[in-house]
Amino acid sequence: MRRFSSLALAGLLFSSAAQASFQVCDRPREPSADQRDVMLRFGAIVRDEIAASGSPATLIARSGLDLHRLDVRYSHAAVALRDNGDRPWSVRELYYSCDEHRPRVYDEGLTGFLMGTDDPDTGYVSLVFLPPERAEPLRTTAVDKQHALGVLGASYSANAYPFSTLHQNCNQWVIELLADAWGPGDAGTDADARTRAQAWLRSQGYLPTVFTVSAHPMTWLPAVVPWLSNDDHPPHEIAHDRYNVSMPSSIETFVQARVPGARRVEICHAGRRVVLHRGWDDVAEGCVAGAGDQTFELSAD
Amino acid sequence: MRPLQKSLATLALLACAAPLSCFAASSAASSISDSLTQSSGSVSDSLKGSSHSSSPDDKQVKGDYKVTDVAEVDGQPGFVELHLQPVATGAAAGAEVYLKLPRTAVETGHVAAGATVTALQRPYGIEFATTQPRAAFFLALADDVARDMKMAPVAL
Repeated sequence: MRRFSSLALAGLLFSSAAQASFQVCDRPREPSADQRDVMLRFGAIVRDEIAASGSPATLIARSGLDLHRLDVRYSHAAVALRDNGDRPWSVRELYYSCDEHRPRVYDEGLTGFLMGTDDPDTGYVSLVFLPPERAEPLRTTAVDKQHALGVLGASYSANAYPFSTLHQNCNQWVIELLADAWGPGDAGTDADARTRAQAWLRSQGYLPTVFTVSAHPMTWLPAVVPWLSNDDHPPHEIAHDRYNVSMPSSIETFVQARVPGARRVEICHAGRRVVLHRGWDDVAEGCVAGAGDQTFELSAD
Repeated sequence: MRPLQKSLATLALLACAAPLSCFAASSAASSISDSLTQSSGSVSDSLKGSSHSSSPDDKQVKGDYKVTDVAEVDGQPGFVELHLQPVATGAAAGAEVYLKLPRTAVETGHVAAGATVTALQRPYGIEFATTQPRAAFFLALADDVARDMKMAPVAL
């Protein structure tokens, strides 16, 4: 279980929270042509790695905003699918729809997915390749709209509690999709898909990421930040300043423990330097190559 | 300043993939496509061959080019068209092309008639860069790459 101590939630000022609420739905700053050149070539390397696996379904996570000060590298997980629609590789994922104020499932090109970072100078992507006996049912479930939308929640909350159906975040949708694909299905129960998925996850020992905050900001924060919630978290957890949230790292930890044969590849770039790292441990902060890592230089010429 | 930054970052952390979420709506594809137009566009939308109506062979667009003209584009305010003549001559020379791109890209790159620019073949398409100093100012994306930038909601 990963723990983050004394996160600055308690230090939020009303003004900063309100400002952030607008930032999330603002148009991101567009990268320069040079930055976009690097991101596109970096994306080609990621695409080649996924294609080389031959796997029909791969777990993929990318860094979003610059969170290195918080010791959090990945914020957004999704499922990369082979031959879904008219693209050889695409990503199926959950986003909060700012226009509709609700979560929705989207299909996005792999290139677009990788471009969705707020830091064009540094980017990280984590790929978890699954053995065929796990990848095939995941693809079958993910491309089936009934199933993909069956585990979609009606309300978005970025800090959604993983064992409640009241809200959902993007990573929670992915882990529930995994449960739908790998769990017992609907045999012997009339519970809805999300409830079944969460029951299976609990039975399998799934552990979300635990955020420990330094005070009680959630008593007022949801009032000013529409995609944060308090009402789905157990009171005893809130009383201890703890918030359990599904994050890419918690999904990967679950897969590493429960899926023999799964393997992880991390690819990052810092400027024009690209590092490819194989293993469940993380590539060094700053995208610095370690022993055994592959490195590439995206020449400007 | 630091506590404020940390607070905002914490919020961002909890809002998974926040930046793109604002485009995750029925207009997502067009919004993202629009966002690309400041520094990139598809090859089919951006490049024309010497006849001014044909599509050039993408793979032959490479090397140094002289900007012989910068013209307004009829019916598309905010866009200009560069007439690019290959500097080299002979078999190794690239093909003459017309490049349509946003005026902001031209202004950002300080590209004007008489300048020399370079076309570089890339895995995603063609990078157009100034030479002095060297800096990309526009990316012409292969059509499949341009399509790969878009997203669409899943519905029954």
